[in-house]
Amino acid sequence: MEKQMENGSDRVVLKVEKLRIHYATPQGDVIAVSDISFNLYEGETLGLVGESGCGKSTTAYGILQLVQPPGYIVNGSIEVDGTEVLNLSEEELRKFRWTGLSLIPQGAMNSLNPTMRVKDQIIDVIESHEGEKQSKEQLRDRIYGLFQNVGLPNRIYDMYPHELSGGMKQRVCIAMGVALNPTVVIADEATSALDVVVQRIVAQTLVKVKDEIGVSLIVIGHDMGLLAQIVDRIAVMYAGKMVEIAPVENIYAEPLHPYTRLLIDSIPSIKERKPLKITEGITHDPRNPPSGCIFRLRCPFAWEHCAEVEPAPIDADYKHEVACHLYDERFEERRANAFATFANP
Amino acid sequence: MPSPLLQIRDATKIYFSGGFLGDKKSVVALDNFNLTIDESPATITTIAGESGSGKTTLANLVLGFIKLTSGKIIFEGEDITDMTDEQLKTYRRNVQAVFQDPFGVYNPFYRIDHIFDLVNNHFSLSDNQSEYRDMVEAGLNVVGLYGEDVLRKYPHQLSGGQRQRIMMARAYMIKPRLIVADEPVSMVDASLRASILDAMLRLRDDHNISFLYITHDLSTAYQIGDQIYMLYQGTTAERGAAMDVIDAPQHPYVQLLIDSVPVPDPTDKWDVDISLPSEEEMRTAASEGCRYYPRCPHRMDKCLVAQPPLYKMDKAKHEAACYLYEENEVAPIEPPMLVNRPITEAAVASSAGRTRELLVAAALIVIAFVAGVLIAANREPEVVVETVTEEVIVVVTATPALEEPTAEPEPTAAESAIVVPDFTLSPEGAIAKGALTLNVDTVDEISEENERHSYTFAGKAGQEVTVKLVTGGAGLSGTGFFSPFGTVYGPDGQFVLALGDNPRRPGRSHREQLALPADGAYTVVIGPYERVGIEGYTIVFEGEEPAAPEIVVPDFTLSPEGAIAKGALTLNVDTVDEISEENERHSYTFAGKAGQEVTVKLVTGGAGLSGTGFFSPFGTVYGPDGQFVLALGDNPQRPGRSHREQLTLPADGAYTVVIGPYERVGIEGYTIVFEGEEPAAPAIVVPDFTLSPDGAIDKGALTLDVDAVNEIAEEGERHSYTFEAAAGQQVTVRLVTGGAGLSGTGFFSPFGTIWGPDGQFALALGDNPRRPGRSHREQLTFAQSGTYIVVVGPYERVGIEGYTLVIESADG
Repeated sequence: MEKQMENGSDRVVLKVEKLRIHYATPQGDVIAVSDISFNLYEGETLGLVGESGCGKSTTAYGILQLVQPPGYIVNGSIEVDGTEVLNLSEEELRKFRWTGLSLIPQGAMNSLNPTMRVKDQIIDVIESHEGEKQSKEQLRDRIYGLFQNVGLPNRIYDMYPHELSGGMKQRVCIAMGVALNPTVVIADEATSALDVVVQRIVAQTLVKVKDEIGVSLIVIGHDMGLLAQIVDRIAVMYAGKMVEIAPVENIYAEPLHPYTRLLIDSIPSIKERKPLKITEGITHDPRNPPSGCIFRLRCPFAWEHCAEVEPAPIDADYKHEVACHLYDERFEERRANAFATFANP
Repeated sequence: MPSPLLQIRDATKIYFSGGFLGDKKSVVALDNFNLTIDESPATITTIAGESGSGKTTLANLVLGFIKLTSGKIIFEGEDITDMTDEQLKTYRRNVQAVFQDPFGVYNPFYRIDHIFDLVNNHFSLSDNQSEYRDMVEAGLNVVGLYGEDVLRKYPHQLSGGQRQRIMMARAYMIKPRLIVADEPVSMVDASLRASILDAMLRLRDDHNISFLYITHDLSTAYQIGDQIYMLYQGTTAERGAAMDVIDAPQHPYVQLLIDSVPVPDPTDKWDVDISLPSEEEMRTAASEGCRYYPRCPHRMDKCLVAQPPLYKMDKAKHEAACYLYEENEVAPIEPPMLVNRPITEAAVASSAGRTRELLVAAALIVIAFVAGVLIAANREPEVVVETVTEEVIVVVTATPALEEPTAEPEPTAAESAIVVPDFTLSPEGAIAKGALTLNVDTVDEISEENERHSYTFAGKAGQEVTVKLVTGGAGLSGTGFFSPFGTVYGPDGQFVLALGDNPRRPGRSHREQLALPADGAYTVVIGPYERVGIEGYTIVFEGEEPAAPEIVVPDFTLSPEGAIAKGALTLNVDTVDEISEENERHSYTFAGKAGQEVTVKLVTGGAGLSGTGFFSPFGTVYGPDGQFVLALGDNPQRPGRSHREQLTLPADGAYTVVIGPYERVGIEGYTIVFEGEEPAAPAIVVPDFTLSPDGAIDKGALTLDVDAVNEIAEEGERHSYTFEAAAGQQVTVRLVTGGAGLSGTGFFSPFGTIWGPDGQFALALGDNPRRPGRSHREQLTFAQSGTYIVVVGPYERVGIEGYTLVIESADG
């Protein structure tokens, strides 16, 4: 597979700032996404990872303005190519979806109309945004072009979804997601229901299409192996916070945040048998996050300072930020000691 | 030589699906499969493969949930298909299950300790309370848990990993010989999987419990598996030590599979793009030859002639079924056992009675030999091993080979376009029948509620019908994705129309012209889709020519996957009455009196989980104020037999029997008979609530009694109502929730909110924190004059199953 752009573009296509999403409950709000900020660069594939409940899907649905009550966006800014998504009216938003932002949903199997031919569904996407000005032939050629992008044969044009395999349906969804050349595509666990071989085909399709069409892509997932294969940068979320965002090579070679280290350590391998590393999940009440650092209750390196001050993102490298006090230059000595202990317990 | 714990011999399972008009299809899920698990030391045997490879079929066969089409499953020398009830009971004790979904196997009404109590009751582990408590604690400790942390909690209060480990602890207490674990980690976060795998290792090494580990996750198999069987379309493509097979796969399919496992190293990326052959090619695969032929990069003509046998590879006991290795020796049918670890002390200790086992083992070698000869002679061997006292009698007879069931090719695309609803509900979200006949020439609003059900109407061939759909919520309009929520089927079951949101205009009417293809009854099935953004619907059918009106009262309504729907059958509890023999989900009400003695008899079809110690709940009886009265489930001891419960009704009023929303293994229908001791006047009570999908909450009989009440919406998973109020006005809000909710746990199950005129928060609606199912009263003084909005849902709450909300003006 083609290697992604070495350095990538510096042009920001999606700028998320201080995005905060709550779920209202009578005892107080559950903080699903807590003031996260990040940039998505042109042509970039960004992986969004974290355990269940960490807010990664909520973030994606927030960006798409699809948060369902009792969830609501408390504050934040979501700019796509300079357009503030949160200021759009319902009508503008509907137009903006699929041209500015599009989604490849999680359950591709169930996102297609079972009684509509594949062609009609894709034609609907196109016509609902562009009007019915194109001839049948123009539409067909355009859809054939999309099929070619995602590696589908033209014969499925007249087929119904149930006649397609799971991998093909997922690729139809990819074709629909990119049909209107959106700026940003968000793929929500787009391959997680698939068998490993089909998953590989779909993942490769996704990256290939992204490169050909030149969109920027956010891939939400929990399979660190798969993300290593297809993304340029990874954003790690923990309990609603973004704890680290870094180029994929950095993350796997040298994870900085203690939680990222834990994630990388718990990837099962098929190359080497390792002792099992047992961890528990998020332990605090999501309505009452701990003071200071969100991860300190599970962090092997936490000290008093972590309970007092919430760590701000620190620039660790090019396009690499980490929210951990250990990387504050004031605590450099502590970091060296901590990691020495960790490496040789 | 170690003797076998489990032997699977020439196991074949063929599913016949009853097609429409006798159009039967058969699917070979497992094809002449062989497997051996040794008695000791305990091992973890992984069964891996893609979906459709037959791995779950194998698990269900070993657990006895389904029966083989041909072949044998022999456990400790006994063929499990011929077991008596008594033997089966012992078998179920020896072979335990751990399921994929750690939520699904817990009854949410009970705390964790109840699970262990049930185990004790079923398997009579100990009569002594303190001894029993020690056993529970020991079981929990084995899997790294402590009683004080988990026993008093409800299932939803534990993490997926903890729930799954409790399943392991529970299995451990029964001291089985084998645990069949079907994807035990696939629904648990990657970072929490290690705790479950660790529990499996401890059970294997310290307690000599073997595992049949069914998974599609090769990395966990690599980390903990001893031997592995790689299945492809019901056959073994490759088998051997897990590390040998995964380190150096030999079969082309297994090579592709291993190569496709993503490596968590961005510097080691996939270097080739792969593709699959066309669907046609896959379907025309010769049933005679190698099943992997259509996809194989090394395929040869001979691969089409016959299925390749397993050939021996370089590493001991590593075998692959591929003609590429034709020059190698053919492996014996008896699969090799792989022991890569020293025999542990526990394993040695448990191998008492070894003499007899050695005899059986010796006998089996003879059998394997004779069977091999017979197979060579195209004879189907029938082997009977009987153990009478200390003697081992081996009987080998031969019968002509069974005719190989010919697997018909999958239907082509054109044929399979016709989908025939059989109008019975299958547990996983299939279709149910309905009985409301609509007169298509009248404009009729069918439903404004978020239920899933079906209706029928009579149509004539060529009749023009206009279908107007109005959906609430924005749906996925404008995204290009479709939010389907129903389907219209024709008289012979063909697809006629999909009902969905207007793809262009959210919340607007969506009109479809329909020319009916035939005379007969058309069925409108709503559901079982779970859609983003659809919040209710109105369907209007307008016909061009009149059809005779025929109103039939719907006898139930279909719920979505696993949720509950209402029904309207009133039972007279003093008569014996067969309510239902079908696998539908619905509810009934009956009138009861306080103190009335009622006998409830349940007969369930299917084996259920009887004898496994698990409970297959499929329904609940609720009292007049919504409190939990009785759980309905299968007979824990005798599958398919009557199960009797004595019940003293706690109050006067209408009782509701709700069937569902459990999805249970093996329950295939039920009959419930209520017999009352004293007659109660039959009363028709219309259930006043309905449940929405997936545990979310639906509307109830909203009594809004504020000065001016204006109900604006009754739709959707989430709906809202408005009322006018004046600043300073006081009201009483009373809530009665069905289900136990989280009452008494200290947690709150919120399901709604009241918002003021400018959107400020006024009140949260939830269950009574102290008294489950009881009224919960709140005083509220309005801060402002204007329109207040009650928003209900779409919370998914544990245990809330409907509600009644009454808002009363305090001064009125």
